[in-house]
Amino acid sequence: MRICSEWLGEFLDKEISLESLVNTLINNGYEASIINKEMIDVELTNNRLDCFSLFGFSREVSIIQKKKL
Amino acid sequence: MLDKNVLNKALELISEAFTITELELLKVSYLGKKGIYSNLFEKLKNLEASLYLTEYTVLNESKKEFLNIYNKKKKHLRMSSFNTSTIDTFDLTLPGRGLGLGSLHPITNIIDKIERFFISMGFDIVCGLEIEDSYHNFDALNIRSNHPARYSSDTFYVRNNLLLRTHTSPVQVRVMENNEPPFRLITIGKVYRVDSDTTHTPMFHQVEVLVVDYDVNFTYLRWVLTKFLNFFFPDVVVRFRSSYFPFTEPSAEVDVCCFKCVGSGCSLCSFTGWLELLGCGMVQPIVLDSCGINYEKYSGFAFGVGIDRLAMLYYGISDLRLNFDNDIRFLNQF
Repeated sequence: MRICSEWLGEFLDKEISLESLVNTLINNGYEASIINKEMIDVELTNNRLDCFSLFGFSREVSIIQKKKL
Repeated sequence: MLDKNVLNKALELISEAFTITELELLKVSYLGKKGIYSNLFEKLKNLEASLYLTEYTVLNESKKEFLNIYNKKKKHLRMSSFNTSTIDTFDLTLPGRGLGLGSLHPITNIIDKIERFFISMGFDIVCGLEIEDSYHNFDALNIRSNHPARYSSDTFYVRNNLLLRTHTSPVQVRVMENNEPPFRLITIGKVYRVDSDTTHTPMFHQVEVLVVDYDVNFTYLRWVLTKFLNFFFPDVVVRFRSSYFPFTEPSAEVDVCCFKCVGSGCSLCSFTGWLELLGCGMVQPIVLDSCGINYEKYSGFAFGVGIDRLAMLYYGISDLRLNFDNDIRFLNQF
């Protein structure tokens, strides 16, 4: 799933760099990669329907990073 | 009169001919484009109309006679050459031509290799039914009733509830239902999925491994898999990625480092540096439960490999459909 970082910034801390975000995702078992300055690509599996929306994904990230939305 | 002389001369020459080549040359000289007969036919054109017709028929008759005698002579020469020359030049002491040995199909080779590996570890080999009911193929494996894999666009249905199995897991389910753990087995066989392109065929071969025992955990799975992959591709780098399957929890997919580019990216691995190989995981307790096994005491792991995919990587076959084309030029190479 391709996510634009600008939109993620609506829900999450805007100061986080894309690289550190991708690293935390990889450490938690999501295959994430940076496409360009503004987008990341994350592999999601079929059982995580909650992550398929922007809000759901941000919620997942906030839990991983232990920060609030 | 002229043609009668011509014919007599021709018949004389024919009877004197000793070889077939001589006879052929004679025919060309008489019946060819610049032959004697065509010459005579040309001369006829200068005659008057009434004479022309009679002379023409006479000449034609002689030409037919020539052909008749020529064919008889040719047959005679052929028969005699068969009787004399071959026996003189045939060496009866030559040894016979050997019978060629056939060879095994690449998929048979890979299956043999896999069986040898697992037998050496004390596994059982189980084969089972190819036509299954949807309970054993889907329900018992925790695949929900509206899962897309159940649609007829992905599975071959025979009748309402009967289908061609999409993986060899139903065989494992039946073994678990009818026996007591611990289990250490592999199932090999043909499976059927609606899919057809360069890397997929509607029918392909799969091997699935199942181990159920006390205290089985992910490290065992990693160990068996790494050993298995190193048996086929010595010293290969293996990576596990977290994934999802309805019948395993946790699930993983295993990649091997691409041999062609050693990780830098190439057309074989779609520029990722890794080749996807198989899926694995710890068996879902729900699945163990539906087979009547106490999941609080026992745990298990399972993994499944497409044998054709393995053969493609092991032998370097580019198109999966070549395996089933029965082209002798392909099979000769093994």
